[in-house]
Amino acid sequence: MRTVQAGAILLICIFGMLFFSDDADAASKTIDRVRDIQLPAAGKIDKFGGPMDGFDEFDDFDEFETEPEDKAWDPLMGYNRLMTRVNDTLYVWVLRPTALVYGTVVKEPARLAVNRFFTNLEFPTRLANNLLQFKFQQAGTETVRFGFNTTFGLLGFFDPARSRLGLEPSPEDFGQTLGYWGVGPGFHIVLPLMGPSNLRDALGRGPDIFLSPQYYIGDDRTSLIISGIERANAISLMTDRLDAFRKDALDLYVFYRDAYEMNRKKMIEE
Amino acid sequence: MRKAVFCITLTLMLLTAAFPAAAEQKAAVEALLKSQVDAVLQILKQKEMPDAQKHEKIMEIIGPTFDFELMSRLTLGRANWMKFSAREQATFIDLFVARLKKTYLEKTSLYTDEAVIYRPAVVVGDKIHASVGIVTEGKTVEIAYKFYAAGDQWKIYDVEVEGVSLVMSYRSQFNQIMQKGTPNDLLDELRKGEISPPA
Repeated sequence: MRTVQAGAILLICIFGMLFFSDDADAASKTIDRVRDIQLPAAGKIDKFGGPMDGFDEFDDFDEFETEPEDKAWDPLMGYNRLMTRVNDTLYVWVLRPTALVYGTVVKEPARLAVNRFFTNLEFPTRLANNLLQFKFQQAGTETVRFGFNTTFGLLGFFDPARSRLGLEPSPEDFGQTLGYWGVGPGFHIVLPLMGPSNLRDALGRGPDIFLSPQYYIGDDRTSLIISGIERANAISLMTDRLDAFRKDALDLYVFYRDAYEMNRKKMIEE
Repeated sequence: MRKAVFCITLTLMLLTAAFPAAAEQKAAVEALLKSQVDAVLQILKQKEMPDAQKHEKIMEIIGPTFDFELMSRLTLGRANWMKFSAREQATFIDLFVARLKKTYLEKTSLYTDEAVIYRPAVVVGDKIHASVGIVTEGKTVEIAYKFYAAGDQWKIYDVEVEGVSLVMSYRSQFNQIMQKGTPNDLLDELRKGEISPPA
């Protein structure tokens, strides 16, 4: 019994030394060797290394080898691909040209101001979702930003809270709130016009709509026109970036899907 | 018992010895990234310089730090890499490195004198991630550069823009192609180049 105990301690010591020494490489090599001994079937095939001998490197960068379970689960892929194509066609042939024409009529500083105005109006959504995530400091910052920008920023057309006071906005939506409380993204859904989303974020849009001032405009037509202006204005400000990233894609759907999911994951972690 | 105490003490000693080294390495990576970004911005700010010349100078600066070859291999992934013959592997590296360089250089034209904030580096396993924030209208865009130790030098093996990893986003697209296709299909896709730009 004693010898077993001593042996175990010695082993832990050796591994501890290897792990905490600067020579992490030695540790991983030792583990590799141990793994190879224990699992001869899973041994590495060095022969396949080829001229680049890439195998050692794949071992050192296994962060990319593990893919989250839910990402592989894409039951709506057929529909999603179709809707991605519809949205993209709409973007290329309708939204983008409209935004470009709008962009030549309304100069950029004015469009930026319009964008800030609409962003300012979404304050209730940001406040509620910061509070729901117990982010009280950010909720306070948002409140100060809203008060300051609505008054000194001339109804939110300007953002002196950021440029003068250095108060960064902290956008939070209900999808992020759900994520914060542990709700997983669920499967991916491409929404008509709105683009990439997932089950959680799509459902999260519901509560957020009730907090948007536009919901309380009585007249449907006015509401629609205002939403249209907001969208056209927003798109006119991102065509450059959207075009630059869009053409990097080999598979547009997979590209948008993963970019969306990775971005949302990071936003929720923050 | 005595052995256990000795062991814990030893481990703790080694642990504390490792920390200053990490701080030093973080500082080295932060300095490297700052010098690179500063040098690139210097060139981008010269408005009268023709694009071709800008691109050439930028590649001279970042070439030694960006490990484009490793990025390519990681993007393909171990499982797919094994399906490629040595010749196909070499062709893939050639095509994809060219593409990476091209897409990177194209993105530089999106820069319009925004201020850059340097964030403190973070140690992640044996890698170091260093980030910059680009202060754009409305929000600050975070770009994380992931460094690994290549001998006595730190090199970049992945870039994350707002959480979107360059390697990961190409990787799943390649996986998609390789699910049904052959290595040649993938190479053809790369040769075809980009999705046609909007009319």
